[in-house]
Order: sequence, then C-alpha cells, then structure tokens
Amino acid sequence: MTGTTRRHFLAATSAALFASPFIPKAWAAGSRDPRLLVVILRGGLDGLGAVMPIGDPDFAALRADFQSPRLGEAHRLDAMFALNPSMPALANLYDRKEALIFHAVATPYRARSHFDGQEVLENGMPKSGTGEDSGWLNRALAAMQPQKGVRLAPKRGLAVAATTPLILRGAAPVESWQPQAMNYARADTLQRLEALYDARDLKLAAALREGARVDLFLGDEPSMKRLQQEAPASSKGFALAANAAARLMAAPDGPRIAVMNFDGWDTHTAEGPYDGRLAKNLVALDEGVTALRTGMGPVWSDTSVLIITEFGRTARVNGTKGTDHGNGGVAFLVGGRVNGGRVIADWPGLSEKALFEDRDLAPTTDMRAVLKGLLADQLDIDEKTLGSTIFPGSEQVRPMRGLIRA
Amino acid sequence: MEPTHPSLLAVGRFGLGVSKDGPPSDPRADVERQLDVALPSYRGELRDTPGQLRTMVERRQYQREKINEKVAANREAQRKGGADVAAAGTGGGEMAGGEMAAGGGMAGDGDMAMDGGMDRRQKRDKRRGEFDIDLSGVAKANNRAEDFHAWLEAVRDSPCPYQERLALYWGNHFTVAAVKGKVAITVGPFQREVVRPNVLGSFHDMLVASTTHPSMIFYLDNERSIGPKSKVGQRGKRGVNENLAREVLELHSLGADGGYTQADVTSFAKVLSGWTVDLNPESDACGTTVFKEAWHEPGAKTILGKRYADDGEGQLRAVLKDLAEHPSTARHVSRRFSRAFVADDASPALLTALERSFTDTNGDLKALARTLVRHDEAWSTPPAKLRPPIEFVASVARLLDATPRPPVPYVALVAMGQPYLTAPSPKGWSDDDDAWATSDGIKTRLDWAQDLSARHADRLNMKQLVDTQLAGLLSDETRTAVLRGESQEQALTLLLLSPDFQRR
Repeated sequence: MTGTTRRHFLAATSAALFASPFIPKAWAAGSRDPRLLVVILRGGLDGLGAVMPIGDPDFAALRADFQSPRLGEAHRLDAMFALNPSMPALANLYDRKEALIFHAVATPYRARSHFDGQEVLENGMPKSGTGEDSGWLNRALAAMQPQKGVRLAPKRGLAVAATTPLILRGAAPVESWQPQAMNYARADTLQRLEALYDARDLKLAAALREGARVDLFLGDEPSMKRLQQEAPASSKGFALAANAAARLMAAPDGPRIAVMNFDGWDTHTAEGPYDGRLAKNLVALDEGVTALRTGMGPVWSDTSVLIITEFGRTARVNGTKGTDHGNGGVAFLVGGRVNGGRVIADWPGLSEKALFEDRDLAPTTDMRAVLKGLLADQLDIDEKTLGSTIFPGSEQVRPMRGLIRA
Repeated sequence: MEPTHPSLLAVGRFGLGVSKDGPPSDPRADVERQLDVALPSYRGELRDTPGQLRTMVERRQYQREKINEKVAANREAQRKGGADVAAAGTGGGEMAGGEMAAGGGMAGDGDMAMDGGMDRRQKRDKRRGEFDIDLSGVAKANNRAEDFHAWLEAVRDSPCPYQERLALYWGNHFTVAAVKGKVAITVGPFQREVVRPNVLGSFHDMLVASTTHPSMIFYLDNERSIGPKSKVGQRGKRGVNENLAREVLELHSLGADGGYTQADVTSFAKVLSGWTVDLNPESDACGTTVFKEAWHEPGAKTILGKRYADDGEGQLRAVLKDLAEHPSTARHVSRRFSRAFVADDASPALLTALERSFTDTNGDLKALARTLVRHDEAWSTPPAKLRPPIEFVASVARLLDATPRPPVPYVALVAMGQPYLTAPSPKGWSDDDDAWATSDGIKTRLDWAQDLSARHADRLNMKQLVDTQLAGLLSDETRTAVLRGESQEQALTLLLLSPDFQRR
C-alpha cells in the first residue's frame, strides 16, 4: 500500500529523526531565545499607499487619482502619518507599542530593476552586480555567538519556499519548507535513500533529512490541507503559511531564523491602495501578522518580524492607475519585544523639488541602519561584524539602536 | 561508472532522460544529430493566442448580454411596483446597462485571482458574478494543465529531446509567467508561437516575436502604455509603462551590466508605447498585437547613443535589430546559456566559444546549440545541476513511456515548486547548480515518486530495466540499492530519486 499515514510514519521514525544534533546540550541560565522572521514583499511595496503622510501638504495632490471613501478610516499614527485602513491588526500592534514603522527608507540601490533591487536587499552589498551569492541573513546566522547571552537553538534557517531565496543562501545550514499534497514516503524507503545519498551525494542527503524532519513536525493540521491549495507566497496562502512557519519556529528545536516571500506588490496598473489590489495584499499581510503572533504563542515575546521590500514606488500615480518602480519606501518591524509605537522617518517632503529624480520619495534612511540595529539588538551581533561581514562596506552606516526593548 | 560518462551526459545535460529505446550508442553524434530533426508539434487541439483571447472575450460578451437582459427585466418589474424583485441581482439597480455594454472584454477572467485589483472593471465583474449567469454551454479558453500535458506527450517519445531542452531554456530566457488573467491563458501558446518555431532559428527573430507577443505585452504591462505626446496621450490619457522596456534590456538582450541607463529604458519605453493587443470582438484583429499610432509617443528617440527616427512601427524593429546584434547581448546570452546547461562557473574558453558563435553567425541559435555540443567542456564537466522539476517529470515519463501519476504531473509540478509557466519573476527559474536542492523539494520528489511507483511498478521488471534500458547509466551504489529494493515499487522509487537520475 502507498498511503502510509503520518501516524504510522511517526511511530516508526520519530525517535530517530528527533534525535537531532541541533538540540543544544545546555543553555546558559536566564539567556534569551529570540526568533527573527523576515518577510520579503516582492515587487516593490508602494510605501506612500501603505503608510500615508497625510500631514504632508503635497500628499493629497500627488495621490489624487487614488481617492477613496475608505481613506477616512485610516489609522492615525502620529501628526504626519496614517496607516492604510486595510491593516487593523498592525494598527493594534502599533497602539500596543509592538510595531515600528520606518519611512523614506531604502537600500543603497538607486536604480529601478526588481532583480537588482532584490539582490541588494538580500545580499546586503552596497551595490548590485557584485556577484555575492550569500545573503545577509545567512551570514548573520553564521555569525551568532552562542556564549553571548543569546541562547542559540538550532543554528539553521528556514525558508518558507520551494527554493531558498538569496537572503538566506550561504554557508549556514538552511532548510526549506512548503506544503504539499502527497502521501509521505515510507520510512524504510526513506532510510534506504538516505543511505544511497550518504554514499553518493551528501548535499542531497542533507536536504532529504531536513525535508523529512519538517514534514514530520508539522503534522496533519486541518489548515495544512487548505494551504496545499494555495501558494504560500500569494495573498490567499500567506497567512496560512505564516502560521505554519511560526509553529515551526516556536518549537523547542525549531529554526530561529526564517524568511517568507509574499509576491505580487508590483502594482503598475489598477493599484487600488484603499479598496483594490494593494488593499487586498495589505489585508493578507495583516492577517499574516496575526497568524504569526498566534502561531508563535508565548515566544512572541521574544520575536521580531521584519517586513521589507526591494524599493518603493513613484510618488505620482501613472497613466494606468498604478505606480512605477521608485526608491524610498517603508519597512515594518513587529514583535513582542519591539520598542514600537513609533514611525521613524527623517521626512524629506513630497514637493517637486524634494522628490528623488523628480519622481520618487527621496530615501533618507539607509535600510542597513535598520537591519544592523535589529541584528545588534535582537541577535546580539557586534558592530564590527555587522559592518564587515554582514553588510560589507557599511562601516559608515551606524546601526539604529533601541529598536528592541532591552 | 564515471559521472562524465558520455551516455549519461547525452540523456542528462543534453536531454530529458533515457527513453524506452535506451541510451544512444554514439552519444555525442546522437545529440548533434538531434539538431537536424524537425521539432514535432503537440498532438491534439489547443487554441492559438488569438483563439484563446477571442474565446475569453466572447465568453465575457455573452455574460454581459445576459446580465443586461436581467437588468432590463428587473427594471421592468420595478416599474410595475414589485417590492422584492431585486433578488435576481443585488447590484442590478445601480448598474448602467450602457456602461456594461461599453466595457469591451478587458477585465480579468473569473479564475484569475492573482489579477485581483478592484478597479471599476473588476467591481463590475464582481457584480456579474452576483447575477449567476449559466456559462456552462459557452466555450472556455484552454487552461495550462491541458497545455502542459500536451507538452509532456510530445516530449515522452521525442526524437530530439535536446531541442526540447533548448525550448525549455529559451522559454525561460523569454519568461512569461501566468501571474495574471490574460497572461495565464496565453503563456502556453507563447511557447508554441514564439519559442518552438525559433528554437533553432535566429535570436533576433525570437526577440521580435517575444517582445511583440500578446502574452509578453500583458505580462510586462505594455498593454496600455500611452505616450504623453501621442494623440490620445494629449487628451489626458497619458502614461508610459517602463516594465517591458526594462526587462527586454536587462533580461532578454543586453543583460543588467550591458551598459544601458535609466534614460535608455525611458526612451525604449516610448518606442514601445502604442504596442498593444486588440480585444475588440468585432475586430478581425481580435486577440493579436496591434500598433496604435494614436497611442505611440511621436518623435525620434535615442537609445544607447543612437538616434532612431520617427518611423511608426519601424522604430521598434530598428531598435530590436540593434539590440540583437549588440556585443553585450552576445555576452549575456552566452553566460546564461552555459550556466543553464553546463555549470555556474563555465570556463572563459567555453564562454568565448559561445560568444564567438553567436556573434559570427548573427545569433544563429542552431549554431549556438551545436557549438555547445561540440565543446569538450560540455562533456568533461561532471553533472552538478539537479534536474528542475519539469525535467524530472519529463524524464520519468520517458523512462516509463507513460504519463506518471498520481497525482497528475501538472499537480506534481506545483508541489515540487515549479508550477507550469509560472516563474516567480521575469528572470525565470534559477539555473544555479543548487537552486533545486532544497529539503522540501527533494522530499516532495520522493513522495511523488513513491505515489507514482505504486501505480507503474507492477508492469516493470526492474532488473531488466536496470540492465538494458539504463545500462551504463547508473553507479554501482545506485544499481545495488535499486536491485535490493524490497519490492518493484520501492526499487522504482529509489531509482527515480538516485543521484544518477536527479543530476545532469
């Protein structure tokens, strides 16, 4: 028979699989056990549509084509900014001081190609085309020092995707996971294949072992069945995938660092920031944040979720009721220890003169300052490593400290 | 057996796995000979691009007419004073019949959730849904599963799997991905109309066919790119979209480091303005690409330092001709080509050979394919790349001479992380050595192999399969593991997952 049920599989192999080399032998008493999840919004989130500078005198005119009655429901964040009404959960976290928003932020990349932009966002280099094929998150993982008071559980990353995105590629071990709809291979077949891989192909051996382990852990939750029908990086599948990722990360021997993708932010046409396509994406993202919080359970108190995108979009609306590739945009940081309730922005203004190249929100905060501050606060990585190994060439970019409560 | 055994590379690096006929006797000659065979077309009936788009438009037109009939009936009933007549459609009262009729089939199809903007058109579509029109008797566009399974049939006993690999390669170079409505129903036809006819033709022809194909125009948002100084643009409906221009330069021709600037992208976008798709069901051109002079930004444009005179549609052709012949294009194509077929770090010698072939033959893709096969490095570099899921599925189909299932291969592809013609970005699927060596990917391949083995293993004699059809293609360790399988089923599963079957 083919359909070995998961229960049989569990009974047959769980002991062997969970005798994991990743479970650390001893923890320092009282040390922290932080989690860091990075969500990449691919395609370029329209920062001005998500977090609206309604206090800026030029905003209304720039975005006149995006009028909507729902604009009135936007959540006031401070005198300058209001949060898109599609994100009530984030608004709630902001009010609870568990959400930080960065505006007019950008990587050092100043051109407008998705691929180059994502490359810089993910490999952490000062410019595109360097050929660097490891990601800053992977390098951070490799650099974490267990003796420094941050308890280091499994030193490997999780990619919630079929393939590992650049941000998490590199020397530190990474597992990938996405839901699928087939029966699980029989334990005996699995072991025989592992033996064959051990003899002939160590890379495949490692991949197979991790794959089996993750499958086993997630079990057959009803939500997993639904997730099998939806792509995890789509607006329909994101919240379900986020919940699964959070449960994996919350496990005592689960991964501590993970990355998720959310595709579909490239809103060149019919953007609909308040009641259209962008709004729908923001709703899904907002539901994802809730799912993460639920899935993390008690460990939410030491979790950071960083939400970033490769670039912002043009300040003006284009001829097809959308926006084109731009520069300055927004980033979000949410989590139980986040020192939140603030929009951090050195606001450049939106007058014609203030726009970058007369088209984009001018970037005034280097994304690397945010990332470095987060890695320093959350993972206790020292400034020298941050400036040399993790973000080479960023020595002049001071980490933005105080993002995480001590 | 050495991993660089010529038979293994012939069916791996240059093929889609061994067929029922077994490995070729003279591998290098056999692969080269495949370039002289005509690439077979799919069996069975699949609509072309105009057919697909026309079917979609007509289906929508039918729906619109039925809704208008219901709206009219509602109004009539209301006039007569009926209180509870709105039941036929909640949106009926506010809907102007005239607006519906003027809509022209532009919006996304019902099954096209990814294109979910709720603009005016889509709100209208939503209202249409509330009317619950019976569309069961109305023709529907082919879906991608039909297209994929027709492809799988074609490659199963293909006499020229190398050409099929080249078609996959060029289809990925010129990626169109089914991420939104009208693209989703035309990505399949794109392979049949743009890629396959030109797979051994000229790069220039494929570049022109790709840039002007409806699927590419939809995918990269050129559909409503209107020059601000054009006739229509001057009336206020302005807006040039740069997406197609940028990706043609960055991905299809020069490459990201090919020496162009943002100004070149903007100029090229203006050259492309007005290239759109006719979706008027009354038009003879419905479903085809048209050049709308009234949308086209007038005037000369300068790209890469060269001035292109105002020449209507001729302007785009002139630019594409120069892009195809540009040295950066030869370099970009050679790099990507060698990376996909041989290794991430091909030697300068191989790159130079490919680049020279491309330049000397003015982008003759048959010459390029032959240069690769004739190069010793292609036969001495050990297989480092995992077969992408689509090649894995095809290799299983060829080995078994059957459609492997359950689940059907189309679904298996989704599970293995490579939904058919749905690459994550215009860059296409990764060609990197380890792009597919992920834990989830490998485990899913195993799960699928086990499921299909249960169905297909019964009729196989694994010992015979290993010693004849796969003679010389398996390492001793693999052969031993397979033959020691406790059942035919397990033996087949192990064979399909063996490194010898997975890598190329």
